[in-house]
Amino acid sequence: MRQDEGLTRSVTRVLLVQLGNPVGDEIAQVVARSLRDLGVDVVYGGLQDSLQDIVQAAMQEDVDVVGVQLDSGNALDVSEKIGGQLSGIKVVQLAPNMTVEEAVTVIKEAGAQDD
Amino acid sequence: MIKDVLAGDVRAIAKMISRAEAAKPEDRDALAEVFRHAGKAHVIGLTGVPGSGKSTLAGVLGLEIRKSGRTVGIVAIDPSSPFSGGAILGDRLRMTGLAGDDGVFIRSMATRGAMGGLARASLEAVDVLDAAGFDIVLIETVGVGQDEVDIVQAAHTVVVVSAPGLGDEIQAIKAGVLEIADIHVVSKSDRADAAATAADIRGMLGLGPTRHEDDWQVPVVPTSAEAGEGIEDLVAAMDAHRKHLSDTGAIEQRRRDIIGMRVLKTAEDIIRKDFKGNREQLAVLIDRVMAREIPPREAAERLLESFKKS
Repeated sequence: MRQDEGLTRSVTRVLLVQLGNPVGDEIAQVVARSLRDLGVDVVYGGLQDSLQDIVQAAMQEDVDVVGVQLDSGNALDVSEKIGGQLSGIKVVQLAPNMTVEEAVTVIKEAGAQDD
Repeated sequence: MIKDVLAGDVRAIAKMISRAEAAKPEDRDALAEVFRHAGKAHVIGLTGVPGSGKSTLAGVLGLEIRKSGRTVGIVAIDPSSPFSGGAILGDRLRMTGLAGDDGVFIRSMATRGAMGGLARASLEAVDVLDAAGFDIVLIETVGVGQDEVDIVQAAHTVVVVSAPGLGDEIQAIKAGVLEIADIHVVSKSDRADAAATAADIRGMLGLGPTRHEDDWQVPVVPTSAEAGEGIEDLVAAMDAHRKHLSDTGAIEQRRRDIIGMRVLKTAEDIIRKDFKGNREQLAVLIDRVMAREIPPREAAERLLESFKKS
């Protein structure tokens, strides 16, 4: 019966991507599984070539939150760069030193602001 | 909103698909309007067991279709967790090289408990992409196991993907997946055992019944996404099948089958939803079946009677 309850409430959609040098996606995969277990639909996009590709994916998938995992060499403010093009979609960046719990919390809080 | 969808606006298309998924009563008119404008696209179903390389193939197919100047929408379906209701939608990951092209629209969908390899709103998503003017719409199903082949009544052309070495030939026979194909693909054809898999499929095609009473010869197309081989042949086979449906008039029967399936499926959804809203009556009936006073069938008939009255 738990599944039935999952069907009736609206599921938050999250796009999870990586930008920069491939840093290994073990953390991102665990984050994706944790979110799924919280009832979230996670679009797992993997490594993206450019910010514009992230914008396009977020638009097509009509997600509530985009989580961008950055490699350590990246210091840019992703949400400042593309947030303007994605009205209604929250963009959060996941620093390379974040734990899974921290990443999940950041995404959950961004999703909650929507409501 | 409708105007923007028809004009191909990305945000409008995406939001309309979300509305189809949410299935709120206030969005019915908009979706009905979308449906009225759909019906032009060539709808292609891509199915096969998990690990057969459907997503990768969908990606390279998208690129090949774009080379011919046509646009393509892709609806990629993954299963929802039966425990949390959430899902990991990972097909997009394998569709590389399509980013940055306005002629391609990829949308991931979760099954949310629907069986048969499709999500409840999959075909409404196809309507949206169709109405938005995409020439070809690919539906990538959940990796089908056994007896989960709704795609056969959801697409004009059904492509069944098999990979060599998965030992899935026997599985395919069990699942009835072999018979539903309009086109067979043997993926990963750069592998040494691919030729044997293709030969197996060709051999089995000669034996069993098919859905092709007319003279369509089901082709077996070896493809290698990695080496970029066979993709052109596959697009040619899909185009040939579409032309065959038109030339023989079979397209009308396919369309009828699709609509018939959708009406029945939607009726099931409505009934199931209504029953869930009436848990008390259901609980009473379950009690009686538990006590073996009545069999499940009688309980079901009583539920349906109360549904008709309401």
